[in-house]
Amino acid sequence: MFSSDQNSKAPATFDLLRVPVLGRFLNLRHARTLLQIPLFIISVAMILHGLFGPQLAPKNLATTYTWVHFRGALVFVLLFAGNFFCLACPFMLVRNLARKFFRPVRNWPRRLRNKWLSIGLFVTMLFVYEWFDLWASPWWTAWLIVTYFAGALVIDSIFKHATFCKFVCPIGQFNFVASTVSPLEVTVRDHDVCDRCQTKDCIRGVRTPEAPLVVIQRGCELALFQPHKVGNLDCTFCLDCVQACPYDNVGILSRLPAAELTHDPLRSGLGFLSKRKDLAALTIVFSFGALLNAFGMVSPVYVFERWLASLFRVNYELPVLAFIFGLFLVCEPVVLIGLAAWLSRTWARSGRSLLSMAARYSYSLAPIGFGIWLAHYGFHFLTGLYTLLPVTQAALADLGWAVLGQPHWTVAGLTPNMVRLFEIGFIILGLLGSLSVSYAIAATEEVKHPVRAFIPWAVLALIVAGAALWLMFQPMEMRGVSFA
Amino acid sequence: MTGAEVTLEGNMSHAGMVPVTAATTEVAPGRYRATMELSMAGDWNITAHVKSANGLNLERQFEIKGVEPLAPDG
Repeated sequence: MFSSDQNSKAPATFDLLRVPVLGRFLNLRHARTLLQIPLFIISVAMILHGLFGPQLAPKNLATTYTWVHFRGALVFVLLFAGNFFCLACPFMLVRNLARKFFRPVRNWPRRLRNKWLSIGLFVTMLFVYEWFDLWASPWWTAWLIVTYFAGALVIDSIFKHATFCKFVCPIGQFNFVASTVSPLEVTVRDHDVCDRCQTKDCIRGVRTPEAPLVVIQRGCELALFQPHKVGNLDCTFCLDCVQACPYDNVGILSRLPAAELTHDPLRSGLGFLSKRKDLAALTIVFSFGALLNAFGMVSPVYVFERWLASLFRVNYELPVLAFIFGLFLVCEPVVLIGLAAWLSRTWARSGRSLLSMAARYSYSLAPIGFGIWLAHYGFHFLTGLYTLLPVTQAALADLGWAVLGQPHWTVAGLTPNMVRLFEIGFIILGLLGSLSVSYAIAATEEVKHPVRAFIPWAVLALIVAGAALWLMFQPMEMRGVSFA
Repeated sequence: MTGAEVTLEGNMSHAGMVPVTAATTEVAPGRYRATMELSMAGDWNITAHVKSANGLNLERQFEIKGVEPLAPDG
């Protein structure tokens, strides 16, 4: 179904960097900075408004931009293009400025060179979102943005390369997994050119013969060597490799979404997916976290929380929330994936270990996971699309600079019923993606009994999709929780 | 306060939601009544916009927590 050959990229007919105007812009040496500056200015405005503006979430820039527009735009750009939000990341603007004054000298500790820390931070982020009702709090949302800026600045001031992006940033990890289903990829145009290349500037950076220790143009800071880079995992689309390549041989090429998950070659900067239990765990948390995050916004969760609170005889949310997270992010995936792996292994008479089987096929959950995030964030984005306008009008009017006029609070976006159709479509699209990926893995790796190996994973994807559709038809409810 | 023009504005705790508004009628001296259709379950923040008879503008906010979904029989 999918070609696993690296050279399958060769026939790609679309290269974003060859598109008139846009391609020319992205080829500029300072294109990234030019994209980061407006996002940095908006981030500062969000922080200030979150800390000092009205503390009503629908009327504050911090909460509206973050939880409605940023998240929504992020998933749509990932769906239609690629990881361009990492490209324009404002946290990296501050970090790059700081690195002009002092250079980090330490390497990130070897035992932390994996995704376990970032998985913990990603789960913490999801937990804090529910516990502090971040969607309802401009003040906490502003501090969250400040924490991201401070985290990127401190970590990348101490440690070399793109440590924050690769090993720490929860948003980055979300984008890496989601971008596996994106239609664009930063990759080489012609592998023969790379074979002849002697300098390997795309990874080493550009240096002059007179000062070989001084890098005048960075190579990939995430240790992705272009000729052996496969897919979008760990790629921030920073385009340093595009700038560094002396042969103009790196482009942003079209490709079949999710195809990178179906084969398991040795990947530069990553190794083999089947041996990366941390990456598999990240994909699992990404997928089941999508369900959990959506579950936190519907009425049944409050009934369930009240029942748990009475069962545990507590009147505060922390232990109840911790139980729910343990149940849905640990117990549920372990049971479902463990069962699918065992059935798949037994029926297909595979010689692989249970853990290896579970890890390899877990990547097939990425499309359905992304479909659920897309349905959830897309709902808020599309139904609240135009609320950007009155919130901005009000913020400017509060400053005494009502250039956009007085706020029109009645504008919103598409109707929820219309958006529901999109939601169903996104979930079905994700389901089809997961089914395709798991079948392609089975066809490649269980040659004798691919269908038998495939069926348990297909059922798992159907269960996840079914749960997402059930959630979508529940009445929405948004509130803080108090059992007192 | 009698003879005032009072309108209510209800906002959801999540951003991206359109406010619900309602005009009130003075049912007794200084007592105002309105019917608001709170379009979603959850916590609502209600702002009362008051314009007094002598032209003063006032605002008061209060919360309605834990609005439940409407039962199927209404």
